[in-house]
Amino acid sequence: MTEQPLRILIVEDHQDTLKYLKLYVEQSGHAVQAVRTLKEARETFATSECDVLLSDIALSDGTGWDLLNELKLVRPVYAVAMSGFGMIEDTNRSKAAGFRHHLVKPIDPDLLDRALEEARHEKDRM
Amino acid sequence: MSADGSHEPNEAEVAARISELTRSLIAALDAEQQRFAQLLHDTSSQSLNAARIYARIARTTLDQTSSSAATTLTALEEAVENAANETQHVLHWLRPARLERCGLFESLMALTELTSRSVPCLFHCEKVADVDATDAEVQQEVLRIAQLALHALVRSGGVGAGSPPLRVELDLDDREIVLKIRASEGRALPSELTALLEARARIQSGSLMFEHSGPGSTWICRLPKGP
Repeated sequence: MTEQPLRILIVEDHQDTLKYLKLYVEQSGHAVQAVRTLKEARETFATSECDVLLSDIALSDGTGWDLLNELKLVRPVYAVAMSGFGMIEDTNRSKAAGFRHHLVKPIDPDLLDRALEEARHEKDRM
Repeated sequence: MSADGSHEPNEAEVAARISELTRSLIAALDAEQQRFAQLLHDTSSQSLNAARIYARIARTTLDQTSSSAATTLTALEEAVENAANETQHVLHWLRPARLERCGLFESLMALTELTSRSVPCLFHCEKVADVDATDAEVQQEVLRIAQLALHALVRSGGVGAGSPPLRVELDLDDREIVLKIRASEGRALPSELTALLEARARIQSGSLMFEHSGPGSTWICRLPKGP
């Protein structure tokens, strides 16, 4: 089984968080495109072949839930939600939208690693 | 009527005014606590997590070049991780517990699981469906009283990781919902907290009592179930 790097689209409107997430995921060996709005995410996804969507839920121009509902009409993608809210209704809503994981901020890097590892295994099986 | 013609409040009016002021004071305390929790979440908690991740990045980058630097960074990462976890723990206790859509039973389960990170804590409730059917404000108050009492027992009541478990029991009858918190160590809650909890219960037309039960202590909060 090969371990190909993942192509990851990170959507996060908080600049500092976006910066360290991008750095962390790149340092883990993956290729990253980082955007800050739903609009930019939509445009980037259309022209990229990203394997994983890592998206904040509360964005300045919409929600991560809305974003995934749009993107999965284009093509399936392994999606991980990030949110400052971890109430059961939020995690249920993320699952209903199609997110495989709902990570509560501040993001635990171990949980992020596990989600990306799972995404990598799924990609390798395809 | 007083000698100067002004209205002298009667006993009932005084009691009502005291109740109103107590309710306002408690709401203000909760709001201030929530504000502080939000501030801590938005600042220190986020910064600590960023530091933790940067330390991990630096440590992983240096792993192959300088073993002593990597060792130091490993220690830094662990220290920051501990600080971040402790901040999260404080945040959980500070933020007034919110009932989730699943109701009081699930919320108390989550609270006792959180408590169990510090000291063993068991939860027992038989009439789950009936509990969740009680008045929402009453449910919220039961949860808040449980949160404040458990937090105090963990922090200042002398109950530690090696102690017998705390026990949280929830029951209800035709008229009341009853919350019991048992601690086997026989320690008391701080008197000012007990007074606050009694006041919270009274606002809901309920009561809070304390009794010695063998070598331990039990706090019993009774609140009317509501309309």
